[in-house]
Parts: sequence; structure tokens; C-alpha cells
Amino acid sequence: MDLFIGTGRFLLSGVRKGGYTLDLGATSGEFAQQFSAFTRQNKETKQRPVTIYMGDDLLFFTRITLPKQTPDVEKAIALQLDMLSPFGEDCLYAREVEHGKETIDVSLYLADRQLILPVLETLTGLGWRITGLYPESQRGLNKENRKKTWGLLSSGLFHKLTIFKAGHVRDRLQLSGEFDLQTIKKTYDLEEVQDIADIVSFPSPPVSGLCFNLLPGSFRRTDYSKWLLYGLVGLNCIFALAWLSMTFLSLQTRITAVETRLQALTPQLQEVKKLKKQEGRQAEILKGYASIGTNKDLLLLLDTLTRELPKSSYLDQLRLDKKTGAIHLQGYTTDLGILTESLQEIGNATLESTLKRKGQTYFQIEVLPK
Amino acid sequence: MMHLIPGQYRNQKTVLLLAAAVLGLVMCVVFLLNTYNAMQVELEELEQQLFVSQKQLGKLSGLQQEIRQQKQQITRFDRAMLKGESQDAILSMMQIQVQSMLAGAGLEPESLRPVASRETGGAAIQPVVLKLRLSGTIEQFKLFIAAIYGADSFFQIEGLNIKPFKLDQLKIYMDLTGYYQIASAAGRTATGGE
Repeated sequence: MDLFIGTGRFLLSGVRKGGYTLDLGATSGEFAQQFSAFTRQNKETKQRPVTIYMGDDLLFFTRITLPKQTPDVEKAIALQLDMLSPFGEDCLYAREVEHGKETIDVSLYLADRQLILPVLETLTGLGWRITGLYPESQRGLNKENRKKTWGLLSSGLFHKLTIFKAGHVRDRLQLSGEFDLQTIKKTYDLEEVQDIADIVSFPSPPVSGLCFNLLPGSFRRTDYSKWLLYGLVGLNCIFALAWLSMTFLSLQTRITAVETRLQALTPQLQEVKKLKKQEGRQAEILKGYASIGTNKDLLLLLDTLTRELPKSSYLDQLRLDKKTGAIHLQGYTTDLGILTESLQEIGNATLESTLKRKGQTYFQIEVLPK
Repeated sequence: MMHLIPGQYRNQKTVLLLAAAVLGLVMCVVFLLNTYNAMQVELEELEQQLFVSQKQLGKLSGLQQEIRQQKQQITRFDRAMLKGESQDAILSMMQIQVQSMLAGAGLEPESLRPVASRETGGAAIQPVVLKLRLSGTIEQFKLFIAAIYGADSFFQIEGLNIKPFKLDQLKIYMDLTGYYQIASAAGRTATGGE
């Protein structure tokens, strides 16, 4: 809900969807009575946040320039206030500080504490929460004009022109005499000039980046949302770090476990390596023995020859070939047919050559013994 | 509200700060991902190594069994080798053994001629050859062959020529090879290759 305070007027808006524009009285006492009656009538029992806007008539604006080397800007502003304030020492103020290359520029809004305090006390007494107290001209700031140099004209006892540049108040001027918006635009080299009556309509227009909160510290509530946000971000960071740590720790634990198992197996692995070497050496020795070869079964061959060669055959020579291991038989027979048949019984035997002479057949047989 | 940066530069500065923050975050994520991947690879390699090691250890008993069998075979072959201090001594011993077998079989040794062979460098097993010239019956020859086959030492009949002689006799020419190990190799095999 927005509450507007102007010269001799209190306007209430946004109590319900559609809004109300009510004159709640010219004095704070009347305001309190009428505000209570109004909320009762409209069954507005649920106490919502209230933002208060003060008309430019009720505010004093000035800009001061401090040297760049000013050690304590806040203290310097406080000292200047004593001299500048038309409301005396006991005033409310809000400031915006801009650090230039050589100077520090300070924009100041000042308000009469005694004027606004009863309103604030009445609202808080009724249980409403006040979120801020701003100059009415701040409602004119939105996303569209944030980057422009423009003017906002406010009417009241006097016409005042607030000049904004890049979303910041540059100056506030009091206008007198006859003027129109085009003349003001040209005179002050502005991109556009708007009347506050056109901007500050109901329900509330979009407002962005409100500055100059004049609400006294005793009425301000700690903004827990910021701390909540920091807390959540911190908590998320902690969880993210914890999750990362757990992931890496789990991986490292697995690596360590496998390394430990490998270390435990090392002596046995060395034993296997040693045994493999030994097996290789012994296999080489056995290979050497195997290369010697074996004896042919001559006994079996002699027995087979004695048994299977026909009676008509005669052996002249039995020779074992050193290189091939084959046994060559030389002899003669009267019947080559019977000898050929008996060769099948001898085994792996082949008839190499035959020669017929003097009624005998001379033969040469090669046998590969088993 | 306090601004440290002049208005006209605020947006640029914000963009730069945002870009730096995003870049920093990306670098951080990349670093973490790389580290994680490297650790993952290390783990996979170690697990593979463990798998191979366990597989090797599974073969340990089989390997021990194989080595035992090899040792037994080597011992058997070692026993069949001729033993002596020198080649001459071995040849002499071989002649004695062959003479004994010939006498047992009843064959007539006409000549026993040892053939000296040069030791083959590096070879663990060296041969010695005995050239025999014999005479006797086929039965006596078979007895001699049986004696060779049954001897403690291994003799290999490499060359053989048999011719009839008289009515029931044979002339036998034989190259008989025996084997011995050179001293260093003998030492190695005697201890099972350790």
C-alpha cells in the first residue's frame, strides 16, 4: 500500500485492488482518526506493508561538494546539515554520494521530523509496517527513463522541477511565472519533461531503484531478506563444497583401497614373477633335452622284419640313415609280389627301387620306424 | 547510495565483472572436472592392475605344480647324462659301459673308436660319439639293443649298418652317442635352476 503525504493532504492508495484515493485529513490527528475509520469500513484488517511518499513541497533538496580527500564523508555531511537544514538540527535526511575524479558530490533530501513523526507513529501504533519514506519524485523513475536526462514537474504551493540524469537526481529547481513543458525542455536541455500528475497514477506504476529513504532508523526493520539470501548462498556453497569433497574423498578412498590391496599382493606377485622366470629357465633346459631326440624302436623293427618278410627274400644290408632317421633295407627276392604285400605289414615302408638280375629281383626299401 | 564507479562506466564494469566471474567459474569447473577425470582414470588403471594381479595369483598353484613336474623331468634327464671331469674321462666311462653291455649280449667287439667332439659353446648338453664295429648273431644284437635302451645313461643309436656275415652272423657298424653336461650347466640343473 502506498501513502502520499502532500501539503495539507494525506492520500491513500492500493488498499484494495483498484485502489482508493482518499483525503484523510489535513492534520495528523485527523489522519489517525480517519485512517482507522477507513480501514474498519473497508475491512482492511490484514496489516500490510506501507510505503510513504512525501510531496516535494515538504522536502528540502540541496547538493554539496566535498573534497576528494574527505576522510569521513558521513561526518562531513552531518556538519553541513547544521548549516543547510531549514528544519533545524532535528531533521530527517537521506543522501546519495557520487565519487567524482576530483570531488565527492552529495545529493541531500531533508524533511521536518516533527511533521512526519506523528504519521509514522500512528501507522505503527495501528500495527502497520512501514517499509520506506521516499520523495514523491522517486516514483517517476522507471526502466524506460533510467538512462535519460529528463525532468519531473511537481505541483504544489510552488512548481518544482526535479532533474534526473542516468537515474540520479542532479538538481531540483523552483519555477515561477508562466511556463510550459516545451520551454522547460529547451531551457534545461532535457530529453523529456513529465508532470508528476501523469506518472503518479493509481494503482502504483512500476518503480525501480528507489533512493533517498528518509525513514528514521527507529522505524526501520532489519532487512532479513538480504541476510537470508546471503545465508542461502552460503549454505548452498557449503553443500556444494561438501558434495564435491565427498565425491573426491570417495574417489580417493577407493584409490587408496585398491592401492593398499595391490601393496598387500606385491610379495605374492614377486613370488609369481620369480616362479615364472624359473619356469622359463627350466623349460629351456627341457627344450635342450628334447632336442636330443629318441632312439628308433629297432627291436620292434627287427622282430617285424623277421616275422613279415617272405621266406623267399634275403636281406643284404640294413642301414640307419643318420640324418633322416629312415632305415634302408637292401636285398633280393624271387617273388616281388609277396614282398610288396608284406611291406604293408611292416608299416610305414616304401619300395624305393627294384632291379631284376639272374632270376632275382633286387630291391631297396625305406622304412620310417615308429 | 554510494557509487565508486562513474555512471557511464558502471555498465561496462558490471559486464566485465560478470564476464570475469563466469570465466572464473568455468575455469573452476574445468579444473574440477579434469581433476575428477584424472582420478577416475587412475582408479580404473589401478583396478585393472588389481584384476590382472589377482588373475596372476590364481595361476600360482598351477605354476608351482608345473615347476615341480619340470624339476622331476630335469632330474630324470640329469640322471641319464654321462658324468665325468673331462670329455676324455666321459668317453672312457662310456667305453666301459658299452664293453660291459657287449659282453652281456655276447657280441664280439671288433673295434670301439671314440670320436672326440668339440664342445659347442653355450650349449648345455654336449655329445660324445663312439664308433663300434661288432659281429654276432641277430639275437645277440637284439640283446645289445635292449641293453642300450635299458641303460641308466642315455645312448642314442645314430648310425647303423648291418650286413650278413657267414651263415648266421652279422657285421654291425654303429655310431653310438652319449651325452654329458658341461660343468656350469650341470651345476645349474642340479639345483633345479635356482
